[in-house]
Amino acid sequence: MSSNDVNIKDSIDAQTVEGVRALEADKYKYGFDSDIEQEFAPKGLNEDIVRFISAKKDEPEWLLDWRLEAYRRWLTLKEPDWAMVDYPEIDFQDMYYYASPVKKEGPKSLDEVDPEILEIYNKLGISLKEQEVLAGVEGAPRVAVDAVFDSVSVVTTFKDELAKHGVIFCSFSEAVKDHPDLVRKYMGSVVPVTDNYYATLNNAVFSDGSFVYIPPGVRCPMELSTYFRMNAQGTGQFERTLIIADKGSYVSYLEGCTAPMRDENQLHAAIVEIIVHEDAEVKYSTVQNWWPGDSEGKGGVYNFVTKRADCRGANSKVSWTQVETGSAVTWKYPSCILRGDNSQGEFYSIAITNGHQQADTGTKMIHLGKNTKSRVISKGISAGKSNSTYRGLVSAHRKATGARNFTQCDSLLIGNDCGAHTVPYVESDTPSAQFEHEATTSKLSDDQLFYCRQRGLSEEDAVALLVNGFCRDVLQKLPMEFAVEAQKLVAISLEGSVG
Amino acid sequence: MVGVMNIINQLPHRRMEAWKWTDVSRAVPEGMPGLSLAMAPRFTPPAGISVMQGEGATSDTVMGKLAANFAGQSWNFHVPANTHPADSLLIENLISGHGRITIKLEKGASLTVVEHHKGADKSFANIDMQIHLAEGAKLTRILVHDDPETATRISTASLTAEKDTKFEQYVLSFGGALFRLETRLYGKGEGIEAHMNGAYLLSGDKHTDMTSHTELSHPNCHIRQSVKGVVTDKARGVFQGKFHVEKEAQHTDAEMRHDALMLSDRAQIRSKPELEIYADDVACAHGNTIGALDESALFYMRQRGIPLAQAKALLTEAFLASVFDDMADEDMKASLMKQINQWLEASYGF
Repeated sequence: MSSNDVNIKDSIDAQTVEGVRALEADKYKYGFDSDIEQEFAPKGLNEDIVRFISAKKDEPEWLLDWRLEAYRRWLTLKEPDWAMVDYPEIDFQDMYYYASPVKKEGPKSLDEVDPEILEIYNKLGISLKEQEVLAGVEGAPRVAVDAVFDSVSVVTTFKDELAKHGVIFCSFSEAVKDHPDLVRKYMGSVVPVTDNYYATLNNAVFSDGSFVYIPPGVRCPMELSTYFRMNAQGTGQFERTLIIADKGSYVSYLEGCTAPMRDENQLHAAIVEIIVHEDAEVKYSTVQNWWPGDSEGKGGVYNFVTKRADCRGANSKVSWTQVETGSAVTWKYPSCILRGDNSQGEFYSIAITNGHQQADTGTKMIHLGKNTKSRVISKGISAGKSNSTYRGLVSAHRKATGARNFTQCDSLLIGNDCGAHTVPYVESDTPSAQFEHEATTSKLSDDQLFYCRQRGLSEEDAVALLVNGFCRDVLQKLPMEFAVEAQKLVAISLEGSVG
Repeated sequence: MVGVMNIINQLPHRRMEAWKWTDVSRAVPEGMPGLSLAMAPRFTPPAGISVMQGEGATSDTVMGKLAANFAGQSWNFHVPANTHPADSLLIENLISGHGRITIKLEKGASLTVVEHHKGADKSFANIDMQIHLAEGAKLTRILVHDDPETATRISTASLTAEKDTKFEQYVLSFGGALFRLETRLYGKGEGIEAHMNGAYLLSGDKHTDMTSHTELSHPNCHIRQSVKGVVTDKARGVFQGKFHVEKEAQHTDAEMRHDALMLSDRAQIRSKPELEIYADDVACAHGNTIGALDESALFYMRQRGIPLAQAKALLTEAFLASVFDDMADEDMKASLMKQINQWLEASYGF
């Protein structure tokens, strides 16, 4: 193998290695810059900026108070340092906290939308099915896209169709205006205002995000999809997502991300809150492909996200699926609070790091109710000079009788300058809980390869077959709309590398 | 010299990540006997090996530093090259206070150390052991721990192991108010083989924490670790294990297991099996299970006429036995199993 910096094992074929390399930042396909007029808040963070954001968004008084309280609390907090990530200190005063594309009068139809934004959709690859939806093609699949362009939602489609079913799917700011009762009731009830450093910051300066409410007994007629995209230079993006699934309802929510290439690190500190009532189910899928920084480790997105679901009602269910290939630093633990009896939580994750990327990600499964079940499948792949860590907690309260957890985390290293780590915490306070955890770090099994080759498969096919089987666990959990994009991102990097 | 008032502040507490489940500073009231005294252990060395007091190796752990401060000189043992003492080094009377022990095995030497850790009511004991294994040396360490429900004890052993050394450790703990057994293994050469097994059986209000840290920086090492625990009443079992594999440590084969049985509603298990891997051609794994006794197995046995208490004891014994399977010393193994059986009889009440 003619590689100069990575020592590759024989069992990994050249194509795979090239495939993984292609993911490196230099060739970052989505790294373009579009020039759209921005309206900025001045750089830096203080109470005036918080007031400015609130005023800009024409917010009610209670929300301004909310922000100010969060800001004051944030000043007293310290940035966490326990994660296995290392990055230069963030200067929170050297950032813009608000940027919105300059609005034209009522961009209700696509014709009125800035052509440059549509151009971005093209480059984003919304061009799959969603672009047809945006272009209003007859018979296009029903995917509602709420595009967050930097900070303010620009286009929301299918709102009427959803409204017929009573589903509310709108930007967070709209929800604050149109459904203040729901917002006030649920906002901050899963992730408290001062939950952690970044969440508190988000509470102070959040720009916009998505709001979803599914009424009792309604199965959402389409998959809801949001594209987040950071655009303006030096702006942090602080979205908030609030999803409420009322009794017996179901919704599948997709979140996909790409970001333009630039030199400065960008901070991304989002909050996702999900409330699941009795018999309801929420499926939340993420493909994250933000800019990872260049091959020298310069630039890239800091992704410090707080995602949490609260299974409040009996028999409720939440499922997190994530494919993480981007960002310079990831700090993300989508969690499930299994409060209702018989509630279920799932976490399926593929995390790929390359170049100088660092990912510290995992989940928390907190069993509080009786007969609650959780399942954690995590696959981590490290290449280049990257480090990826699985960090997870499974805990059972004394009253969580019959709780059940199965956790499996597998890691793989390509090359000799990277690291793969596993840090699971398991806490049980009841004898009737049954917890199993297993983790492996290894290369592709020689026995299995040998078996396949014996059956006449070429080494490449054999590797592809084995890896396909390996990642199917997670990939199959993605909704169809996402599978193509995800497979494109994952397949090349997983092939031949996991065992 | 650190004052008595000061020492409480220096004890590890739960806000320190490595001690989050074992809060020493909270378990130790001011003026606890042994807190600022040197320990007076009793040694029965094998023929030809003598005890010397001296400087000893230094420790960089919090508890090791406290031991260095209060214990004074270290008790040192030296096994010359290619010597294989027939008897074990027996260490007893580790009742209270701070103690330091340094053991050095020269090239190709071997030694078995048997430690009995048993304290007095409301006593505090802190033992820091520094072990060096030169090329080809072999050490077997057997440790039995049984403290009163009011005694606090921290026992730390740090080993540096050179090329082709072997280390075997078998621990049986019946707990104390707070017991932490910490084993730190630093691999300094190729081909190290280590087996670190342990069992804890805890009742009442007892607490045992088995923590280990294994750091490998050379190729072809083979590590096996299996810790099993049984907790009942309000007891609390803690397992923390870590394999740290540097990128030079290719072809490391390391496995860590922790399995725990919970027998009562108030018992607790905390577990953190950790891997930190920088080498790409390794096979490292960890497993962790927590649960209760298998109902169907119990049912089967009762169906065959075995009373419930005995059926439970039998299943528990079978669960724990594998920890000591590989012990070469059959007499010692029988003695450990006997102690396990006595505990089972007392706990299941038959």
